[in-house]
Amino acid sequence: MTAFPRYRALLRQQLILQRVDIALLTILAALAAPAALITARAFDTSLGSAERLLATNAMLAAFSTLHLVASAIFLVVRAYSADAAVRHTYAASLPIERGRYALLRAATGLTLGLLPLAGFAIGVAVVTAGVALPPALYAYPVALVCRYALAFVVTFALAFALQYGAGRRASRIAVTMILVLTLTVVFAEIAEQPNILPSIGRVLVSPWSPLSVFAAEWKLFDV
Amino acid sequence: MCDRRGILTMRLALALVVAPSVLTAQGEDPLGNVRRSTTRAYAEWREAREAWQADSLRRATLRVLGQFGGATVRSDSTSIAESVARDLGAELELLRDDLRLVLGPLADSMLARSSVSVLYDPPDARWYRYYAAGASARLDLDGSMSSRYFSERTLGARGRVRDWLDAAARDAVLKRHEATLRRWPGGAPSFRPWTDEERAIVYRGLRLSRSPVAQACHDGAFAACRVALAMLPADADTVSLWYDPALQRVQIAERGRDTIAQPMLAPLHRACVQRGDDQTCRDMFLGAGVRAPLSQLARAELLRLALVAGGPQAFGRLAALDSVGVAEALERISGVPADSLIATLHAQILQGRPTSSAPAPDDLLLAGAWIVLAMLAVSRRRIAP
Repeated sequence: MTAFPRYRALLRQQLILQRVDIALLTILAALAAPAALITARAFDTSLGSAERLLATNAMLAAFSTLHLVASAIFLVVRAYSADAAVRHTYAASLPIERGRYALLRAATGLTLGLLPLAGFAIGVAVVTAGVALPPALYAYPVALVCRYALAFVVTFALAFALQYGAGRRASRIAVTMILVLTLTVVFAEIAEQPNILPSIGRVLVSPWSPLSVFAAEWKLFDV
Repeated sequence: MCDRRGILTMRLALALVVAPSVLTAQGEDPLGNVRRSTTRAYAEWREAREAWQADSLRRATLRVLGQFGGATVRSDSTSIAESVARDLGAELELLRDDLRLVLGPLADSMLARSSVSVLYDPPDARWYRYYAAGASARLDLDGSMSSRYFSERTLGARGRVRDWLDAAARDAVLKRHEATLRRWPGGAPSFRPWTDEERAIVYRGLRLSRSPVAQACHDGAFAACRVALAMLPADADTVSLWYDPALQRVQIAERGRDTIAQPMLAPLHRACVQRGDDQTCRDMFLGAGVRAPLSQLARAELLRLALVAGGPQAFGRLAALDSVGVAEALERISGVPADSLIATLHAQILQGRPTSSAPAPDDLLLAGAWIVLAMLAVSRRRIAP
């Protein structure tokens, strides 16, 4: 059996397992852009239409970042949990190496991630088509969707490496990392060294960091 | 004895009866709160002034660390204050280079009259709690005073230190040449080229302006750029040239929801929008604050370009200018046609156009590398149970 039929079989299995989750993630992704537009309008009615559209960018960046991180983690963790629940007997029964199996899982996860991405693209397209742009303001839906896709793939890859590399310890590692970060912040506050947190932030989004993909401006509208 | 006790009892009873009325009378004093807050504010001001004077006396006795960029730098003997002072000295050297380019020989004489005093400040006050232990620096740039608090880490963000010195230098120049600079560009010239951020701010301002001259200027009409930059005769009606009465009315009408809600503004709004009273529209428009198609940042940069083009004596020519038009003044300062300066500024502004969110090829390569690395790491090892 070559790789493609196995990939197809795994994809079908994961789709059946996660159909409700994926449907929800897709709907939420589709709502991100309209929700950002509505929220920006609700927050400050005194802004002119151009400024209000520019304010949408910040909201959209927050919504889409949260959504894509949640989607990537959810797709990885749920697939792994399903395998772990049956003590990986399904994976062990397949006549392939475990490493190859993991790559097939990554491929199916990324494929299913296309659905939330499509939802996001639809939401962005609806907002772009529905908004009367003031002169001198342009919409960049394709660029934004590309940025979303790249950030999603990177987040998925990192989450996948952590989960499939560390197994059940992954959650403990993630919690430990969060704990270390929180304690650093607390100690920085106690030791009156408030510059530590910005320094950590700068390292995390430095040009060589995988998270630098989040550092760029996420904007749907601009001059 | 009994009489005495009776008298005391009566006094006590009287006091109990009178006390609430006295307290009420005090509470009803309409100016009581004002008086108390004024007294408190005065006491606080006096305390602050005394602290400032004491601080100045301390700083005057600090030892001189050296001359940096021509300015005297003093500090106390703590390692933090010395390191802050040396870093500030390095920044002053850079400032001198920028100032020389714009002010010519005036820069050296200005810095020779300047000093920085740095004192170790333990973070005892609540305000300082958010900063690491560091030092407070007092800058006296040719009579223009300002203070900053620096931790050693703050100095890592050199841009902010540079902005501080730059702002102080602009204040100093503005103080000396206020009459010349206030009318146009409305402030001192900047002493360093625009950052990418400033370029983007000016570009956004130009594109988002509702004024037709902004659009024309963006498209390359330098005559329109002159209007947008307020390079107009002193008696010109700048606001009407930026926004004609119809455009003013449109903008007032758009802001309607905010103004109608205010009882005082509602009749004015009706007079402007419904009855078409141009003067009322203008008053409301001015009252709401007029946004220049090209901000003071752009005008200051144009003046900097003229001064740089004019060489070391250009600032002297600016200071000696009599009342001439802005364009002619710029030509006299720089020795080049005003349109040539505007063309340079225009090119700079267009460079400020923000890029889209699309990932750059470098981003794609880097992300690809991380993804491959992550997948290799997983495929090469046995999956953890």
